[in-house]
Amino acid sequence: MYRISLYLSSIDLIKDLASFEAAGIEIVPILSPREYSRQGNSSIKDVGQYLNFKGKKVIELDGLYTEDELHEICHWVKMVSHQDRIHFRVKDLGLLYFILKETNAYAEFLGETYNNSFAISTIAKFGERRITLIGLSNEYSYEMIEKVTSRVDKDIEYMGFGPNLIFYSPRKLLSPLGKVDNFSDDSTKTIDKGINLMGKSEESPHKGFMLHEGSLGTLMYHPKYLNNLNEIFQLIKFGIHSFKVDLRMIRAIDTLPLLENILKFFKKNQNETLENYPHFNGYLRKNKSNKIFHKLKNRVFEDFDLAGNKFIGKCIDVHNQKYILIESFNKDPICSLDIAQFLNPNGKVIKASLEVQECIHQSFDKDIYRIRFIKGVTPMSRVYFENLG
Amino acid sequence: MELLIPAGNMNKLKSAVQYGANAVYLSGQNFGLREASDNFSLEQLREAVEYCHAHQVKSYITLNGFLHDEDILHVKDYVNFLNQIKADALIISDLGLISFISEFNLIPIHLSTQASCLNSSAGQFWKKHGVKRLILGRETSLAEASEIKRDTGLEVELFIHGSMCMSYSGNCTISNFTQGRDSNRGGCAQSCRFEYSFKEVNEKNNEDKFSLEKSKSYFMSSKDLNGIDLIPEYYNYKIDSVKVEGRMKSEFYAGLTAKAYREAIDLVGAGKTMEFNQRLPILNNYLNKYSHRSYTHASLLEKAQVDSIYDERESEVEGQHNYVGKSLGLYKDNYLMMSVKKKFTIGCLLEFHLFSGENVTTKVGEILDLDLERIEKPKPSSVVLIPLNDKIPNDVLISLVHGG
Ligand code: SF4
Repeated sequence: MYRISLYLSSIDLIKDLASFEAAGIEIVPILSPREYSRQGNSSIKDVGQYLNFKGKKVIELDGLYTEDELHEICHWVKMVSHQDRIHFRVKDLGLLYFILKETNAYAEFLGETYNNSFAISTIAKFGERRITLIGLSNEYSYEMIEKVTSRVDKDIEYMGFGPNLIFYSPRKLLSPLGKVDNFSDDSTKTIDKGINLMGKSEESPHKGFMLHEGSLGTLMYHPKYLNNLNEIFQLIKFGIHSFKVDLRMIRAIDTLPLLENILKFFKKNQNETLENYPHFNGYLRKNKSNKIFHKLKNRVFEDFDLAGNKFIGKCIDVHNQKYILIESFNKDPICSLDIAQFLNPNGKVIKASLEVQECIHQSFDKDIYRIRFIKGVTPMSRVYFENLG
Repeated sequence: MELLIPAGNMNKLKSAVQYGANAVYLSGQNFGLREASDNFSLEQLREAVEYCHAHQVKSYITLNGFLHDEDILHVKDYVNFLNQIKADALIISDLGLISFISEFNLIPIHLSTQASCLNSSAGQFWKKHGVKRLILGRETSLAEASEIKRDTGLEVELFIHGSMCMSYSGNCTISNFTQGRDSNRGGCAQSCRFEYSFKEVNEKNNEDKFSLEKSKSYFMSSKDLNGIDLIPEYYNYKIDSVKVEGRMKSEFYAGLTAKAYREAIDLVGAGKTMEFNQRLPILNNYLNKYSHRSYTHASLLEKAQVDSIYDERESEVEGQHNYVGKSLGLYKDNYLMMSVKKKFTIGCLLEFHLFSGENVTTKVGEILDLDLERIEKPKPSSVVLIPLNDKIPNDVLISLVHGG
C-alpha cells in the first residue's frame, strides 16, 4: 500500500476524487488554508467542509512563524485539533513542538532543509508515534534516501510530481510591482488567491522561475515541474511509500485529466507522457551540488593542510623580480636554506629553498621577512614548510 | 552586551579584535557556510583562538552548513580538535549534527540563524537538544527576541548589522538548481541580487486583479541591516549578543563596524544616552565609509516591508572611502610600512582609522619600495613605504578619502 499526498488547487475538487479510488493506493487530499500556509488551496473557513470528506484528514501549516504569528496559529490549531485523528503537516519546529505537547493530534513533518539521516532520525525519535510521516527534501539522491529509510522506522515521503520550491521569503515582494485592484485601499495586501508571475533574469542560465505570493510571503519555483513518476517503483524499493503530488498550480479544468495520467504511473502503466507539463528529473541519480561542493577552493587548501604541511604565512609582496615579502605567523624564525612550498591562489605549488635577506618587522603575532625572488611565486600565495614526517 | 564580529580570515579577526569586538565567529575550511571565504586552516584556528583568549575575546566556530551524512561522519575529529584548542562555542544549524556530536562534544552550542528559530516554542525544542544560545532568525523583532529569551531561559543573539538574505535563512536553494552550488553548504551564487523581468501568468480560472506596473526589478534584493541607533533598545530588551554579518567582507568592514558599535555599546552601557545621540551621526559615518546597500531596520521593530527592498544595482554611497591598506609599523624609523590592498597615488588624502578616538588624515608626499626607490602607483598585494610624522600603530586600517 502506498500513499499519495495530493494537493489540488481548490477544495471543491476533492469530491471528484472518489472515482480515482484504486486498490493499494491511498489518496490523501491535503488542505492548505491560505491564512497559515505558504500556498493556500482553501481557507480556514473550509475546514468544516473538508472534515466531512471520508478518509485521512491532513491540514498543512507549512510556514515558518514568528512569535506573534505562532500564538495565533496555535490558538486555531488547539480548536481544530479535537477532531478525530487529525494530522497537521508542519515545517516549523515550534509548531511541531506545540502540537506534540499541547494537543493530542498527529503530526507530519516537512524536513525540507534536512539533508542527513541523523536529523531525520532525531525528529522521528522526538515525536515518537505521534509523528506519522516525514517528508524529505527534493534534493535527496537514492543513496541519501536509503540512509534515511534504513535508520528511520516511519513513513517517509518524497516528491512524485509537482513544482519544486527553491526560495521562500517572508516578505511580500511581488505586490509592490503592481496594482491589486480589489484591495485598492492597500496595494501591499495580497489578494485572495495570491499572485502568480513568471520571473526571468538575464544573469541566470534558466529561462524563468514561477513566482507565487500568498499571505505568508513570496515563493520561487524551478521553471519545470519535478517529475519522479518514472522512479516510483525504484523509490518504493528504497523504502519510500508516500509520494507528494502537487497540482495546486494546475488549472481546475486540467486537474482531473492530469491526475488520471499521473495515476497510471502508479499502476505500472508508464507509457504515459506528460509533455504538456515541462519537467525535469531532479537529483535522484546524481547530486550535482554534492559533486561541486567537494571541488570548492577551501577543499583544496584543506587537503594541503591535512597532508601535514606546516602553514607559515602568506606572501604579501612579490616585487619586480627582486624580492618577496613573507608575513610569517610561525613562532620560530625563517632561515636561509629552509625549504618552503608556495601554494599559489590558482592551486599551483612551487617548492624552493629560501634566501633570507632581512627580517623587516617583528611583533608578538607576526614577523615579516624579505627573501630573494623565486620565479613562479605570486602575491597572496600561502607558504608552508613541508611535512617531513 | 556582547559585540560579535565576523572573522573571515586571520587579518579580519585581528581587525575585529583590535577595534573592539567582545567575540568573533570564524570557520575552519569546511562545514562553515562560507566556502568562498579564506577561512582558517587547523593551525590557524589554534592560533586564532589563542590570539582571542590573549585579548579576552571569545571565539565561536561555525559549523553551520546543512550537512550530508558523509560530511557529518568527518566531523568527529574536527570537533575533538576544537575541544582541545578551547573554542568558546560551536555555531550549528543542523539538528543531525547536534545530535551526532552530543556524545563527545564539551563545547557550548549556539544555534545558527540558518535554523530559522523564530519563536519560543522552537527555542524549547532546541533547548531540549542541548542548545545554550539561540541566534534568532532575522525575521524576529527585538520585542519577540526578548519574549523568546524570557520563555526559554536561553541566551539570545540577534543580528544588528550587515547584508540580509531575502529568504528565510536556509530556505533558498536557487544556486543549487541554477549553478549546482549548495547555498546551505556555503555555495550561494547571490541569485537574489539579480535583476528579473516579469510576465503575468494569466490563467482563465484565476480571477486575480493584479496588473504589473513594473516589468523589471531587483525585487529580491534586500537592503542591508543597520541597527546602531537601536542599541538602547537592544539594552532594554536585554539581548545578550549583537551580531554583525559578513565573514566574506573586508577587514576594513570588520574594523570600522567594530569601532562604531563598540563606542555605541559603551556609551549606552554607561548610561550616557545624550552623548550616544550626539555621537550617532559620526558613528553612522564610520558605517558609511565602506560600500553597502542602503540601510534598513528590516524586522527589528516591525515586520520588514516594501521599503526594505533594495531595488537597484549597487552603487557608491556618499562618504564612501576606498580601503587601500594597513599599517605594518615603522621601517628604519622614518617610514610607515604599508601593506597595499588597492591603488592610490602621490598627492591623495589617506585616513588612518585608529583603534579608538579620532582618526588621522595625511596627504601622501612620496611612495617608496623597500630599496627606497620611488613608486608612482603602488600595486595591490604589495608593501610600500610612506614618510610620515604621526606615529601610527601596527595594523591600523587606511582608506583613501574621495575627492581628497
Ligand atoms: S541567493 Fe540570496 S536569498 Fe538565496 S541564499 Fe543567497 S543571499 Fe540568501
